[in-house]
Amino acid sequence: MKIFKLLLLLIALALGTTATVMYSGIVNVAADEPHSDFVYWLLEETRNNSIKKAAQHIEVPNLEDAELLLMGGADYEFMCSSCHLKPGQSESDMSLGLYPAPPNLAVSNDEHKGHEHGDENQADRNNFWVIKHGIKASGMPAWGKTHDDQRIWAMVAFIKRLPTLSPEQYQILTAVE
Amino acid sequence: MKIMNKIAAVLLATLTLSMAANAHDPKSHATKALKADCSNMEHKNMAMDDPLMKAMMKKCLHQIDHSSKKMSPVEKTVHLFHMALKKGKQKQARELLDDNVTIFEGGRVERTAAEYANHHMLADMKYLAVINTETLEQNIKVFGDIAYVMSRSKSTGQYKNKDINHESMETMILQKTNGNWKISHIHWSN
Repeated sequence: MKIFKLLLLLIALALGTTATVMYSGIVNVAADEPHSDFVYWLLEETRNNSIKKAAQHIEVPNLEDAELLLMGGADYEFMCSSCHLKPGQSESDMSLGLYPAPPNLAVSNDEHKGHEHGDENQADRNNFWVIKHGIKASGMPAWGKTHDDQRIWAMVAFIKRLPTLSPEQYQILTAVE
Repeated sequence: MKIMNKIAAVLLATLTLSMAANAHDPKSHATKALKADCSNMEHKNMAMDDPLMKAMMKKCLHQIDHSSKKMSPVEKTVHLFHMALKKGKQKQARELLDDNVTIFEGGRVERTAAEYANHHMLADMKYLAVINTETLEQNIKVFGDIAYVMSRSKSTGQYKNKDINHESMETMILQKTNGNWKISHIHWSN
């Protein structure tokens, strides 16, 4: 009985604390104030593991295809480059203003800091899943609502080659005529 | 408590992220080229069966179909020479000139390709890089291994803080040697 009362007290305390935090307005929601290292780690790990689990059974098609590069290049330029940058660019209004900062996809996975990408297949699967479903509360939209799987795979194929492209090659591949 | 606060902050903060409020430089719109610039296509160290190479070729062949592919060999040589000057490609421009080319320009004469390459070519490239040139007319006559090309063009823009807006005349004589057309004489005036 005593334990039951203690449990009720703890639950009431937790709910009270949560309500106080929610309604007092003391929480700073500004995107220009970063998380503490611990909170950042907590969210990053949760996100990475969620994506990995959700994407683990996705079958990766052959991405070594010129048509996919051309299709994905045009979409990347207009849908992704403002946040995820392009060769020769190190920052944009969006990459600086969004928090968490969107990854720079114009540099190789090895140059990214802070998170694992897994092997090449795993990275392709993850990219497909993220582009299709988006990520809650991060600024990353779910493009799957308006784009079919083939177009999303085309973007994955383009992103795979993106770190190897010069600004001139990028311009050619992404130009719309 | 602190951690709970932070977690709540994260959830609320991310909900408020907006895609609309960006104050970027308006010039960035103007620099977004829509047409592929195939004059800068890099393909060194790339295999022809590389999908990236195939994709670029597909994009650029489309342009070639609409420009140099339909040109006669003489017209193409002149076109490539103009483009090489415009893009600052010294090696390509030099290769299209006969070693003993004679160039009349601005009241002066240069009597070899090497002389031109070391003197006026660099200045011409700097000028043409920032000036818009539109060909108004071009007449080509071919007599066996000799051809002459007479062109009239309009140049507009600004160079060294000076407004440019004038018509230019160009006469070229080309000679075919070992199957390749080379420019053996140029006369520029405006």
